[in-house]
Amino acid sequence: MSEQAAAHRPYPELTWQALIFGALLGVIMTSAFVYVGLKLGFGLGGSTVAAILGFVVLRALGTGTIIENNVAQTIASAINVSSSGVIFTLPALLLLGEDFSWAAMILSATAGSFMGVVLIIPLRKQMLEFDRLRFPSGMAVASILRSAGGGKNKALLLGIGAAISGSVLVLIEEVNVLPPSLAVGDWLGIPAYTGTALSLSIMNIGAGLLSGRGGLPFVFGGVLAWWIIAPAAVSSGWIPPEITGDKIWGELYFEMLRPTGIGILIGGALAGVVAAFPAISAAVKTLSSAAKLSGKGGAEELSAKTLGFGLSGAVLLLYCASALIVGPMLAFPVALVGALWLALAGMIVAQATGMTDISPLSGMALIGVTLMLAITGGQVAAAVLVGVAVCVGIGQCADMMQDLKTGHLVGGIPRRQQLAQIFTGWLGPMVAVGTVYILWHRFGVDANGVQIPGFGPESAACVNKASDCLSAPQAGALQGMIEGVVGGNAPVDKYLGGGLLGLALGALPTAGIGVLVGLAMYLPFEITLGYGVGCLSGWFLEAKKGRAFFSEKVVPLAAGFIVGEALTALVLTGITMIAG
Amino acid sequence: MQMIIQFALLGLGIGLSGYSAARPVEAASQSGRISVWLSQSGLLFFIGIALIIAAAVLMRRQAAALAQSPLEAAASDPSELLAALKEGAAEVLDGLRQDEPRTQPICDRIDGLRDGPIQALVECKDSMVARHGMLAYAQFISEVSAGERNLNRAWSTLVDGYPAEALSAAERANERLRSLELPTS
Repeated sequence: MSEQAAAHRPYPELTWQALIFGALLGVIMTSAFVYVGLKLGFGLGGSTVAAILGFVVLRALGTGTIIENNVAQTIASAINVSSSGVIFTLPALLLLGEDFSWAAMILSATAGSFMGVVLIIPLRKQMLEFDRLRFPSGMAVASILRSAGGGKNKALLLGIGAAISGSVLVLIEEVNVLPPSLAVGDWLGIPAYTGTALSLSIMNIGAGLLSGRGGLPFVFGGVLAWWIIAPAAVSSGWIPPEITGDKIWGELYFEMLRPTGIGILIGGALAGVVAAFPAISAAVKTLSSAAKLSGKGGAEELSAKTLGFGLSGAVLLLYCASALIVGPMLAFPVALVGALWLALAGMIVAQATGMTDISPLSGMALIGVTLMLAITGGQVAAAVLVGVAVCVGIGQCADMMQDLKTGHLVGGIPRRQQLAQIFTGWLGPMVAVGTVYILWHRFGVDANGVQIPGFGPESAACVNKASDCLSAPQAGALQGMIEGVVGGNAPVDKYLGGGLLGLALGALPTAGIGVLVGLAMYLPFEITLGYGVGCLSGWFLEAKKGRAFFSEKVVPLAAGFIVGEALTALVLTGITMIAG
Repeated sequence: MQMIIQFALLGLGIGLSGYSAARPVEAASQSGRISVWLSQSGLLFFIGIALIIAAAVLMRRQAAALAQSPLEAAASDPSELLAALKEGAAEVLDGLRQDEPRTQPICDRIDGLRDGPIQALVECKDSMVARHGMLAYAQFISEVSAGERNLNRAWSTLVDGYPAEALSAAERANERLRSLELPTS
């Protein structure tokens, strides 16, 4: 091919290679991460891995452009995101010994996956263009994708950042020479129940660096929760006398601050919807006007009409899944309330992720399950069915928005990314639910024909402390919450009080304060403090050194912090799994 | 001083209402939990909420007063920023129209536009919304963002070695930006 012809060849973007590579990688990561989640209790993100592997594999196939690689990582993470949603919810049903239809669970997770994507697409303009949310992980992935052409200095800073955060994680997890957090509170003589410690997660600090001044209300919320409200609660005698020492922190966190934080998150988000209504309405109007330009090559977004069809189909799918469990009549309110909750929770999670990189997924699933228990009169299977859809859906909301942020920074066409996510996202639920099914049935039935549990603390492997024990800690947590709700112990007073407080915070002129304050109460203080150190440093550097310095030096370094810890965690997890 | 009062009211309000909301409650039923909570903590809780609302009113008044101050008095004049953006985008296009486009200077120019005029225009959001309304701002910033995304596309495709695609992306960016005007009331 002549040089001139080479210069005019079509630019590879949404290619078969990207589709197949992204889908294969997504399927592999989903099944692997479901296993990891059942064993270790945490989910893993796949975008950074996919972006790095994409360069290697797609370039070996002769393409591997920046934007094609972005499509591949969009597909891989769209599939993989289902793993976190499924492992938090579905195994709880198995541990509770409930009867249910596996087909209904696949339908529900698939409905959630579609719904999450189509619900959040109209908010792309509002979150990315009007509000300019930072989505730190999306910025980190964009830094990886752009590293080839961003100049040696940026690539070097990215590498240095990754090396620092990866090394710190190894020193904490493997060499054990560093603690997971610094006991700052002990040094300052602050009571231990405030949990005043500085997490040494460099990824967390990196997310704070990228968020800068915008993340400071989150830190303010943490300070208020743990340095004002917690000591006031202790001195008011709210801690039962039998709870002493380290257990006071747990009582404060799990019984008082966390449920109040969930309430504030919800109230803050509701107020945010009202306050952002003009922006959302403007976003939908500009979406419609963009669609009208399609004949002139202006179709850079999926049209509102297409999204409407997608949403209707997804709600119908959730109705069918619900009907399989609760019958056709009760399935109406279940599907309707489930879809409404998914929409609100998806906005909360996307906004929280955009502002802080932290996703309150479990809290949102808990509220979804609580709502469903109330609607169905305590039918646990129906409640978890909707919980599966909500968890998968809100994961998709955050992932889609994060991928669109990356796409904006590398110049991808949103419509192509949206189509890629819609057409491949359904694979994730099938693989994740299928993997749970296989793992649950791996020991077959006993002599009496009774199913032997494949995971959970009661499974033979865990009772015998075998290396293939999958204790499913996240599902155990949801199981405990469901038992509490069914037993009438849901902290509705704290949800209500927190909700009203969140609504009041919506009156402030700055958007998102309620979500940030709620998130700060929802999380342990050590995460908030580490993130706060990053925010203050980012704000200071941007103010003192200027925007160009921030963009040239701080962004690649902070992106390296995020990427290095994510990749090292993945490698260490792989080693742990192989070593049993 | 005004700012200190606003933040003191806000901090006190969140502290009081957060403290009251977190109070442990013992009751036999779910509805009982709410009535017990209201009777024990309701007064303090709503005083906290009132303080938050008072802080919000003061903050909104101040924000409105700032937004109504002349745009020219702000750190950057939006009309100058828009002109700088249009000029920069045109330079990128000219650079890409050369027989052999020079990748690094063009990429640096695009980076400079993103961190310079585009970022500064984004920071004018509050004053533009206060003056012209959300819809007018949304239409304006949508065009700026579309131009920015196409400039980013020109960056990526040029680095990947596809100058023809980079040229079309820069042309699209210029199309979106060339006739763009600041929102008018």
